[in-house]
Amino acid sequence: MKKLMCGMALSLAASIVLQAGGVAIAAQTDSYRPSFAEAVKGKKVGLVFTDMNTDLTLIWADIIERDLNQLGVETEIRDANWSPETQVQALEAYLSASDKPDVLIIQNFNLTAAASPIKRLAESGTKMVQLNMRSRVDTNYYVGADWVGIGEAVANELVADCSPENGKSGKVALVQGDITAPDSFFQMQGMQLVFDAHPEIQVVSNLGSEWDSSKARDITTTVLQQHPDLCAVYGLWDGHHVGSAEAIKEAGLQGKVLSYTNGAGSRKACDSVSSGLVDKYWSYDSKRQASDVVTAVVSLLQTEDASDTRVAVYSPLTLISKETLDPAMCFDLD
Amino acid sequence: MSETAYQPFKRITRSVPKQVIGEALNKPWADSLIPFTVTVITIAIFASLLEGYLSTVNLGSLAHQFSETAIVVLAMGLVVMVGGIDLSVGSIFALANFVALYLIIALEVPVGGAVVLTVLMGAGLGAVNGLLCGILRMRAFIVTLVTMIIFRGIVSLLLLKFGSELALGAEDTPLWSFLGYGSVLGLPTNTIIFLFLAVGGHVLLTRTRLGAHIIAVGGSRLAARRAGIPAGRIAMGVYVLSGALCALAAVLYASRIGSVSYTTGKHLEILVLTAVILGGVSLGGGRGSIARMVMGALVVMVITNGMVRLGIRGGVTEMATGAILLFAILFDVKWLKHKDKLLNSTFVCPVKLTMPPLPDLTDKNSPYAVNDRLRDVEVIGLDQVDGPEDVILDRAGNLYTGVRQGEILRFLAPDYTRREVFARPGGRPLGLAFDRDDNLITCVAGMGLYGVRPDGEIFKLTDQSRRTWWRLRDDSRILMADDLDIAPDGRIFFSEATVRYALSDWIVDGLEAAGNGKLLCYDPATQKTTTVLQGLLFANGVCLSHDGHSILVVESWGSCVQRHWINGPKKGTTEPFIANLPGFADNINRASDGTYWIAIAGIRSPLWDLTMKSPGFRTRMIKRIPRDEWIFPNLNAGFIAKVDETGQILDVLWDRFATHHPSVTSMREHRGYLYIGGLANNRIGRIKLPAADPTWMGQDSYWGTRPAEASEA
Repeated sequence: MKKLMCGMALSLAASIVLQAGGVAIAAQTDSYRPSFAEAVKGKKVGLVFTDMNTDLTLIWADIIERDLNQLGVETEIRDANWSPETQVQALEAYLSASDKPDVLIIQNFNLTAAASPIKRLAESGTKMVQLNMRSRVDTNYYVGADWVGIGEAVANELVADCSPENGKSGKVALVQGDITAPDSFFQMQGMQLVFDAHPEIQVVSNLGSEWDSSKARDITTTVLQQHPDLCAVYGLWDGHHVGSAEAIKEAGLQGKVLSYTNGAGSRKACDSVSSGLVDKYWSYDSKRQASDVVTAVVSLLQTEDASDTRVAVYSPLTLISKETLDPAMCFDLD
Repeated sequence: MSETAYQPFKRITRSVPKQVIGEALNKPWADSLIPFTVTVITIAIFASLLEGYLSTVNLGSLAHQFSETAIVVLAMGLVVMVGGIDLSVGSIFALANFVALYLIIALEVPVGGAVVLTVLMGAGLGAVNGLLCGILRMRAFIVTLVTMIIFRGIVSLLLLKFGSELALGAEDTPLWSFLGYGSVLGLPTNTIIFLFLAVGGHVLLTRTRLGAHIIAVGGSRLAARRAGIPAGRIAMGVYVLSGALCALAAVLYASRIGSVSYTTGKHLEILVLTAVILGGVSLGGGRGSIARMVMGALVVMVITNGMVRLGIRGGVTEMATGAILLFAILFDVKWLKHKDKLLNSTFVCPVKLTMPPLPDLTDKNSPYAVNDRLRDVEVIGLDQVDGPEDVILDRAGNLYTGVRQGEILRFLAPDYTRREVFARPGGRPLGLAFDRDDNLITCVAGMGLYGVRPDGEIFKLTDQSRRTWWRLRDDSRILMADDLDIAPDGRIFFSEATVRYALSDWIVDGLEAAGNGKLLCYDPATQKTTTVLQGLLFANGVCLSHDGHSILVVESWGSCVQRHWINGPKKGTTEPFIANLPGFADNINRASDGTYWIAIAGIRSPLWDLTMKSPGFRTRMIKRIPRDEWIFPNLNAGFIAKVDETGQILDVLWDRFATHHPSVTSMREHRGYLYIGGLANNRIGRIKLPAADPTWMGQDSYWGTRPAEASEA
């Protein structure tokens, strides 16, 4: 009886559910679809990057264009080719263009160069996402690494690995790229916070390589000669840290002098860790950043008035070392 | 002589359109035509590719971005013009950018002061280059390559030490914002400053002594030094100016971009050099103009900016810039090499000239029948004269002639063995005449109309006439004054053989035969020079008729003589005096018996007359075969003719065997002798005229006898 009751109840419930389901299929539509389609229809997005020949810009352009084009959004790339002035030119051209893009994605060279055109573009109603390298002006979105955070994380690691308490010299060398670039500037801020609290860590060299790996190599070679007891070299970006890592290897100090860096997390990052050129690599995963940018763009396209939108999307960090190394941590470029 | 259909004055207009092209190519601004065309085409291409490119907003934006680079282009252009090169412009730019921002943001120096200090620093850096290249004469390429690296190194050091202080900095004072983003009448501030500098630079180069010195030093440093120009200091000054201009451009850049970066001004030298060369400023120095530099800058800016806007990747843009530079240098080299050839082939514009039938010289009954009357000519000054074109004698019987060396020589009477330099006016003294006060007036080819007082002092009468309004080529400067005569009222009538060719190319005027000659009149009372006749086919000999009422003027290529009335009822009219001579007439002078002597420098040939009929043939000849294979008029052998007041040939004197004096360009009768000159001769000839009045001389004929001297003689 009990079984029967249960069976009836079940069948009743089932029939109700089925009936209800049938009604829903007939009446309910996906209410997001029309407004989404309206929002992306005929829209244009401009990608203004510092260059088009590094792993991060290539993966960004690759994913962002692929995803946005799939949604029917037109994209165009402006390659500043390592010239802030060219970038400013491109942005100013957008200011006076008759067919302005609806959203601009900007990777800055430094905090100041593009600040003025960005400010004026914002005033003219252009929605903007700053990617990984911000200017001093805020835009609707910032998608990218938390540079202060990376600086703190690296500095803490340096304190732990190099402290005289652990029998190390406490001497570290920093190789910056462009001093005024946001990644260098904010990482230094973060590291300073930690080093101020740890006077036992001595920064014996803090030079800029102008993002040039051969300069980084020269700097590191010299520092290693001056300080044979150096504990670690931290290159503020893997693009030029290659040079420092090779200098360490050439000096026969691989494994003795720690080689730290950060970067986009492309295949070469994992390779450098597995080959021992780099001991610790903080990856902000640029492939994921690209997807975050797509989300930000799509969200901005669906926002009628974004003038008050201020959203930061900091990229999660992955620390790649010999211990944690997993090929899946790194992405491949086509 | 019967009237013929030959009307020399009506044929000049036909050649005008072609002459305009040739003359245009010879103008200094002709070198700008190609950069100008390239500029227009480049802008047109990008305007068609990019929507709204020519809108006011976009043009304003382009001007804004253009101006700083364009100022550096001016800096580089000036250095290239003075014969150097300044590869350190980009580094000076970067250093000045840093200094300006550091002064303003970190040290809080007022904007005005910071601008002045930065520009001074730029001038200082320029002075380093100037000292090494200009004064110490080291190779500019190497020196500025090294200073480029050194200055760049200083920027790197400063960036490392102080860069972070400027990473977030921004200056918002009104003056600074005005420099960076302000505008006046729709023009961005930096554009106004650039325009001011460009106009200033243009004035400097074209209107000032310093500008002329810069071009002279660039053209040939050694020649400039020998001309007394302080070449080293001029070159140094230009480097200083270059440094200051770069610094000023950097200040404007700083106010606009406001960031310090190791990439600031990187590769700027290549971009700017491309613009300079593309603008046709010669890498060898001495050739170029501000306008052309600006055009070159425009092209480079439009291309680089346009390629960014078309979404073309950086590497391609760099390759394109490099390719343009290579192309520009190639063009510069080829243009310099072939320019003269091109100019030659377009400058000469032959005109159809139908000559009347050639008189038959072989006919014994012809008035021109060949004889051997010049066989017994005496030779004066053999090998002591080089090209005595005209000869004249003073009241004392001394013989004067102008020679190729730019001197007027005097052979002293009575034996003419003593030779002295009477005056040294320079140029190429041709026609000679004595005025009422015994001043020797002379037409100096390349200079104008000059006079020499009896004591040898030289004075200028005139070297320019009024410019013909429709001619692109300035014909006001008297290029080739040829012969003269003086009216009783003191007016000097003189011929300008051709307004288009210098003496070295006088024979090419014959191949053109476009009527480029003029009869001019210099009036000592007003000191004005007016054009009496133009369109003459090589205006040559000039002679006042015996009654003083008309001027006879010879047209060499026309083989004719015109009579122009300067007094009397026909005043102002012109009529043929002799219409068809068998050769190319040169000078004409009075004879003692109220007739005229006329020199025929060479004989026309049927081939020459045929050549004259076909301007197309002459054009092809000039363009396609080397000069020494051209058909030239025969000017090796001629004769002297005597004509009466109606133009009738009375007598001819030939040197049939060409032994003593075959080439005749002038003759002068004096006390029963005829003195003979020749443009290419190494002697002066003299022949006794048995029938002539042994007391007659030109001075008396023109100005009356002077009792004292007459008795002395």
